[in-house]
Amino acid sequence: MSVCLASSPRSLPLLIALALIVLVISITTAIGFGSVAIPVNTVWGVALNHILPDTVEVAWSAGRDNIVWEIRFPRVLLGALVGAALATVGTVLQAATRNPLADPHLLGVSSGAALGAVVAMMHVGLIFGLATLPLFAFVGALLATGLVLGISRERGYILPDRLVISGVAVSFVCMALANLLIFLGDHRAAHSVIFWMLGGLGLAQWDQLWYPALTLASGLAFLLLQGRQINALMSGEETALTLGINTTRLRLSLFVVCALLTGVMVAFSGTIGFVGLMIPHVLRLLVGGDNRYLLPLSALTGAIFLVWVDVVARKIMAPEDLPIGIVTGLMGGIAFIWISRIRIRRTQ
Amino acid sequence: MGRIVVDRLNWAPQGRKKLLEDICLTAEPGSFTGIVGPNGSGKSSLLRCIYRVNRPHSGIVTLQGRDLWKMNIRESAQSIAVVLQESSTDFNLDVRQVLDMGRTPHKRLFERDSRQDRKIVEDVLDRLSLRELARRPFAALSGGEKQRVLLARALVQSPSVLILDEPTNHLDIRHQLELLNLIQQLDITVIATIHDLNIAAHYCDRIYLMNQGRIQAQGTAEEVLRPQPLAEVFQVQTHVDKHPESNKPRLSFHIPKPTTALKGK
Repeated sequence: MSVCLASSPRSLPLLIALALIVLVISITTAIGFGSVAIPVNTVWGVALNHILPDTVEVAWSAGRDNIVWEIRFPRVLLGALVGAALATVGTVLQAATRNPLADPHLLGVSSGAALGAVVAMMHVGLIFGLATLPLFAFVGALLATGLVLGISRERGYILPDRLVISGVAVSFVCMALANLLIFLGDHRAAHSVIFWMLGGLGLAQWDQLWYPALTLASGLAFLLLQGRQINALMSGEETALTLGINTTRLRLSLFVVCALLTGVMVAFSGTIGFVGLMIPHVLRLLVGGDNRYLLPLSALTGAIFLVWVDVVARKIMAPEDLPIGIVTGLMGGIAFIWISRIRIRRTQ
Repeated sequence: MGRIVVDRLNWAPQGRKKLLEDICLTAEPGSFTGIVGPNGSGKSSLLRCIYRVNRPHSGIVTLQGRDLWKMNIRESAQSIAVVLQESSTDFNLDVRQVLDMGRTPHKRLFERDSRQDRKIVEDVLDRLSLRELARRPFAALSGGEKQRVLLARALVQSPSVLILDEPTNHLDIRHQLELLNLIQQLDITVIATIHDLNIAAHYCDRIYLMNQGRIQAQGTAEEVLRPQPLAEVFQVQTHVDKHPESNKPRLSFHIPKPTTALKGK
């Protein structure tokens, strides 16, 4: 049923190193793709010269430099950050809710974040400066998570099977409200907001990139250190308690961190669905379910995955830039059907 | 070794009538305490009060004289390990990873496995002859193997008290005896709910017979597993003799025939 590639502690650093190399290659290759194709060595040269000035002899035009450094680099890096965050959140939510279909999009967390961001964009304005959007998205994500969990609880227990249904329901309500706010708001602004909601990395800029970067770094660090606790939680409420875990507090902290990660990513890239569903599933088949291995590898694989999906989104209807959320939605919907079919077959 | 005392404990599920009434139970260090009784008599609920899922409404549970419910949950989990009936994981963990989990209560939040943790896991793998299964996915094991792995995880916890909820459910007779022999050889306090009264008679130092949320009888197998209390609790007639080898009580049961029952009255 499964090939355990990484279940011994020794192979984990190796796999992480491997994934990091693939990620760096993916990022620099992906930057080469676009309306103007740019060779990989130029990409490396531009990057090196911007990090350490005058290390490489300049053999490219200022225009190319601008395309690589100012436009494509932030975009591809944002893609990697968002992919890493969403895949990690998916892994954690699946373990914490004991439902392999959990995903920030399916559980309504992304829609809550989108609603929060729309409130900020259409009706509040940037009252806290650049932090307004991520902040509102975080609050929206948190409220949606709380609502979904509240609906799925009975006598203190979260019912895993009710979770996805309430997630989808909350998601519909949030999207309806977001659409209403867009409809009631300024119609000229509506156009750009709708495009943002479809999910895209085109708005990435260097001076905003540190928001998602810092959020990912701190959120990921927090989650990576709890692999053991998350394993116990995954084995059930009573088992976790008998292993000495304060399940209520652990679950709460995990949900808050997941809402934070999702909220901030949604604020900068719109709703990109299903990354958190697909990546952990594929990885669990390859490296097994131990979250101490799964979490770091999910983050790296998610980053690689989204970098390449963005390449597809840029190339498939070039020179039009297809919103990336459409591509992940198509792939993820099919993956969802596949996973549900496997689950149904297993339970029969 | 741990001494567990339950004193005048009462418990009811949220907003419903009392399921445990005035329970007193003592598990001496190193002894094997069995809890028997019909379905729904409160056996599992009582265990849950000891392993800290059901908070008692009144009364007290102590470990070595300390109120268990006033301890930090991580601290109590360092002394009390539990083998539960549930064993569902859709999540593709292998046997070794399940065992690793047993070290959780001994680790601080951000602490990693030490050489000693790994040694404990290795020892238990050998002791329960699980070495060959170490890399197999837990979900792919047979019922008996799963139960042995869950016992192994509990032992990795290095507890002084082991609690088992119907440990022999769904096991064939060979696996039942293997598991219980293993448990009996452990040098720790054991509290287990057991359905099969002959098994309870064979393994338990002390037996508590429960009925409708109360302790109906307690004592050694010879004292508790007698026809009269069993007839009251289970509505069966019991014939008791001695096992030729172990000299423990051996029980056989039948449902009283209506005519003889009438005659009895």
